[in-house]
Amino acid sequence: MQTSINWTFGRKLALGFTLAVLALMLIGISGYRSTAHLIENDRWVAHTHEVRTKLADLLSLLKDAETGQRGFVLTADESFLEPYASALPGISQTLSEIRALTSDNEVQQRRLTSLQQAVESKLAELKRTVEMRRGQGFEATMKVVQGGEGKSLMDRIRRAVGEMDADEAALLKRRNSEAEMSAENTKSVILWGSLIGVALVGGAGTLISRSLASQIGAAVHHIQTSSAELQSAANQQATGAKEQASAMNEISTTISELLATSRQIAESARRVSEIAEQTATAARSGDLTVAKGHESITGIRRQVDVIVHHMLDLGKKSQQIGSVLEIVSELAEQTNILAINATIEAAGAGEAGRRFGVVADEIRKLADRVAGSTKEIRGLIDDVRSAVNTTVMTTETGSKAVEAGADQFGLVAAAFTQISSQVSTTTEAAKEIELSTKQQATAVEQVNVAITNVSQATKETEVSTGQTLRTAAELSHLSRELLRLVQPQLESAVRPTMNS
Amino acid sequence: MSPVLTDPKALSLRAEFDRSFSQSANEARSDHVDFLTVRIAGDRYALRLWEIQSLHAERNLVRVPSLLPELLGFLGFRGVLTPVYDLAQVLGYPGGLAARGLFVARSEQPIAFAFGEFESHLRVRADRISQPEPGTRTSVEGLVSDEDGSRLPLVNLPLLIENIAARIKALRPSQER
Repeated sequence: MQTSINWTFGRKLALGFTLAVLALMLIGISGYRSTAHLIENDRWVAHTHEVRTKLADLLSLLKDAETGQRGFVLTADESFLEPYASALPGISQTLSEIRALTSDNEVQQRRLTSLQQAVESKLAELKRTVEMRRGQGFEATMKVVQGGEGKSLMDRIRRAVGEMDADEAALLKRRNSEAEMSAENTKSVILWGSLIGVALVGGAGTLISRSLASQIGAAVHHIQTSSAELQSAANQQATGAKEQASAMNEISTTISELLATSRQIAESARRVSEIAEQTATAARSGDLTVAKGHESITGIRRQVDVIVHHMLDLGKKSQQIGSVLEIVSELAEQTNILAINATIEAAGAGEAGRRFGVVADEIRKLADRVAGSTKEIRGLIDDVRSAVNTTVMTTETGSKAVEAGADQFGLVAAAFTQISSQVSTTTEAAKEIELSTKQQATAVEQVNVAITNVSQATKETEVSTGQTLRTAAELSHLSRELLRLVQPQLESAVRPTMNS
Repeated sequence: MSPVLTDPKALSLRAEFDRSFSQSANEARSDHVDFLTVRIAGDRYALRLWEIQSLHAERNLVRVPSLLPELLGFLGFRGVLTPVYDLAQVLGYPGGLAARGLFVARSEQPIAFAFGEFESHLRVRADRISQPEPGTRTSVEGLVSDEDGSRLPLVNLPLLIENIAARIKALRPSQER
């Protein structure tokens, strides 16, 4: 039961139509066979009638030939031979036709052979008597006729024809009986088959109708539910389509801004390309300047070496001055000591040594000044040596800095060469960026067009969504109508639910 | 002909040199006291010039063993064998300090002192010498202010000599025994 309920409409309809077709096929086959059998019996009946007719024709032709022979024998008038002459070809042909018609009947064939011999004998007797009448006259011919051979052969032919006709009549009777029976069978098959077919088709139709009504009703319920959901979905889709249309407008505006930005980028890239070319020119010029700077640095380096040499020489001379000054300082100290001792001695000498004491004091003062000046000079020499040392160290540091500067200049020159190369690469890259940005702008324009198309499509979608909404409403209405057509009682029960 | 001087320091030296010759000898010596200034372990000291017989630079001593640690050795001055004492140790400094100069004191007995470094001859007015309080006898007997305003302790050389003589005298009986 569950399986039959779950069958599809096609299967159920196919089952019903298959039963009906099978019934019609059975009825048709039975009727066809009965009708074919009936037609076959009729053909055999007609066949039998034809055989009997041919037998009657043969007997009639033989009578015609015998009638002509008799008239000629009695009158010797050639005109009486006309039936005889016209019957001869027909007799032979009729015999051939009878042989062909009874070819399936061995008994009739054997009888026909006997009949054909009797006919040939009769025709020979007729021909002989006709020839005798012409040649020997009436009397001689009458003797032969009276001999009875002709009558005997004719009787023999009549008996043979009669036997064959009787046999054919029996066959005819049997075939008539079979034909009537076949006709009855055909009528019965058609009558009962039609009744059974009508009953089967009616039953199947009723079952299919009930089943389909049930399934279609359930399907219509589903359709109604789905129509409501479709209406809801269509409403949501319409809202979404409106929001999508709004978003598309915003996207279109953004794409327009993006397009403007891309054009600005393309313009900037073009300017970058120009500046990169100018930078490349400047880098090449800078390369030459760096080379000149490198030559200047080399000259400065030589001058610094000379300065260092002179400073070292000055340092040595300052050291020599310091050494000499040490001796001068010691001399001044000794002079001072001597002057002090002289002063002491002069003081010890009393009044006599006073003048000497004055001189000694002057000497001491001079020695003091020499010592002080020597100290000053030593300080100055120390300052000079310190300055020389500082200058030498500074100059050496400067020389190292100059060397480092020269190296840096070399690196700068290499860097300028690299910069020139990289600026060329940058120029190419900037051109490629410019080209790419133009392509990007073109692509953005295409995107803008596509977005416009999408926006238009969205609006159309919005319109079609409205159409879908209306279609869903119509579908819901149609489903109720269909339900009413299929299951009126259910439709009346469902309507309040749907309305609620 | 002297070269034309432009440096301020050189000009100052030249002016001082010329002024020294412009002063009279009597003017220079009136109311002034002569001192020697020496350095001992970085400290400046003043010595009265009239208490000193002669000043000498560093000379080679003849070192002898002694019970007095301040006795450095002996030297001959004008044919007189003279003991040389370490002025730093006599003044209370630790021994072993460098001594580049020495002087012979004016005394009855020959005696000399070695000191760290001779600095200069100092002549100051008498009023710039602060006298010690009466009754005090210390190795330093007042202060001397130089031209820069620095105050140098004045070494009481006679007292030092007396102290050394007293110590020698205190050692002598024990040696005789």
